Amino acid sequence: MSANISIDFITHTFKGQPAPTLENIELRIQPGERVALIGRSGCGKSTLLHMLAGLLMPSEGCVRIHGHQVSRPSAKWNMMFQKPSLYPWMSVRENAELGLVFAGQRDKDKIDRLLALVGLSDKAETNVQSLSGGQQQRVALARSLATSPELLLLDEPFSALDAFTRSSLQDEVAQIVGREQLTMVIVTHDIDEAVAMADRVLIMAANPGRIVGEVKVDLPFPRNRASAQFSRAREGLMTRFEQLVGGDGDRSQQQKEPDDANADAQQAA
Amino acid sequence: MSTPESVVTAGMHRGTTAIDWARFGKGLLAGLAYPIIGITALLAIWWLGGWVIASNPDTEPFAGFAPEPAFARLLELIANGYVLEASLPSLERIGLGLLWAIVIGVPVGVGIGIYAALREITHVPFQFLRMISPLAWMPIAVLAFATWDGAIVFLVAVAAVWPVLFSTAQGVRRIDPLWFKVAKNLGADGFQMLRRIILPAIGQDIFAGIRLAVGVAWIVLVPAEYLGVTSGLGYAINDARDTLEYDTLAAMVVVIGVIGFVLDGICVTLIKRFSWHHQD
Repeated sequence: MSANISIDFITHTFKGQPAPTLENIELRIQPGERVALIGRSGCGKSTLLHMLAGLLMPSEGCVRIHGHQVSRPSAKWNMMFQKPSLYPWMSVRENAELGLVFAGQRDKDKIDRLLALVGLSDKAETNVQSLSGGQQQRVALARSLATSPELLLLDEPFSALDAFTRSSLQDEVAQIVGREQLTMVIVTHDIDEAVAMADRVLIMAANPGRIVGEVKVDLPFPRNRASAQFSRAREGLMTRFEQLVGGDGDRSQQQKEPDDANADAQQAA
Repeated sequence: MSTPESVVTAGMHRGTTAIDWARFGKGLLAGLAYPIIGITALLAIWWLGGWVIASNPDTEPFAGFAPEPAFARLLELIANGYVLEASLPSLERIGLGLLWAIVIGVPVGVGIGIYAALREITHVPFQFLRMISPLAWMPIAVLAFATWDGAIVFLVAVAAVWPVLFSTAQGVRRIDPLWFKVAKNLGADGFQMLRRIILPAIGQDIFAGIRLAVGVAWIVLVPAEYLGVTSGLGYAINDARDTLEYDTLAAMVVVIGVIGFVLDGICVTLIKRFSWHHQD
């Protein structure tokens, strides 16, 4: 079953900070939908993703999955991080099956199938420290999929990889998510990544973090980066992003500008 | 029938094997050279000290400390079972003391590694207690325990607990926070987090702490065995001193050094075994 997500008016202020990091976020994500969150650094994308994962509770509002409030992490909504964060004392297989071990449901066949899916069957018994960055992210993906999640949350998972590995993993993950009928939310700085993987791209601005617009990407999977449609979608998203976030999309800055102008005028007089 | 190619291949194979043996021998020599130099230097200093003592009429009665009488006596003591008889009670006390140190040190270390508040609360008391020489507890231990053995095990445990505790806590603090986050995300409960993530992550830190603890405990053991017991290496040394058998005393010192070295070697092996750092 794919996750049906509703984010109800989330506002979040970190302890010791005067202003909220996120303000009044309202969002619906349909089952099986692939959503990308893009925005400049500090706009609260990762904070929002952590809330979806149940790793962080909002100051106000709530996240609901299938109508139930998310109040703690669960293997049903799994997160992949920028770093693969594999356990270096374990083999590829042991890392991949960890979620199942925690649930008391070891399933060798399932892990074999997942390792085949991510192209690591021949490395199953290898220590993860021997793998390349791309292979490690594949193990992290297999680990995330092993618990049969309804929702896959990706926090810039490919940003540390080289360009070739990154684009091949983007395609693989998007296809796996489609095949397994998962709901997916990815946080990224990369416009290409958003266009390659998402059905809908949400644009976020900072200070306070908020969703300022969205762009649908209506292209079939697998997406061909060399195609004219892909380039058009990319250009469209880029233009919309520039329109909405512009300089830095900082509302406090936007509000400050007229004040500053007034102050300058008063000083001149 | 062998072809010319197969002869060449066999010859090359034999050649390669010969080179490998040569390399192995060279590596072994290189590996042993420094320890041999160190041991030789130590024996030379000991021999020189013995010679100086034996040459001086005032110190001549202590000539039994020199290497030749000490090693001769050691062989006798091994042969008549005295070394084993003296070592086993000491090893038992060390083992029990270390066991208590681990049983107390590891859980408390994990606790203060995880919880900042606990770390703050325990910082001053632990640093205060750590600085007290374990031997200073001797009178209290004698009063508090019904048997001498109990008192000695207590003193060993008091000496050994701190390295285990602090090394464990340090190991926990070095754990990548993302490992906790991922495990939580995968549904780990508290016990699973401890068993599958924390303990494997800090295994090498625990054994590094135990290694330090073995050294400290071994140092404390000998004076602790001067207490009322009539067994153990400390007692054997004290007894040899009282009976002016300095060759026996020196022989028992060698035994203490050798056992300490072996225990340290066991700890090093365990540290390597539990180290997850990748070695190509």
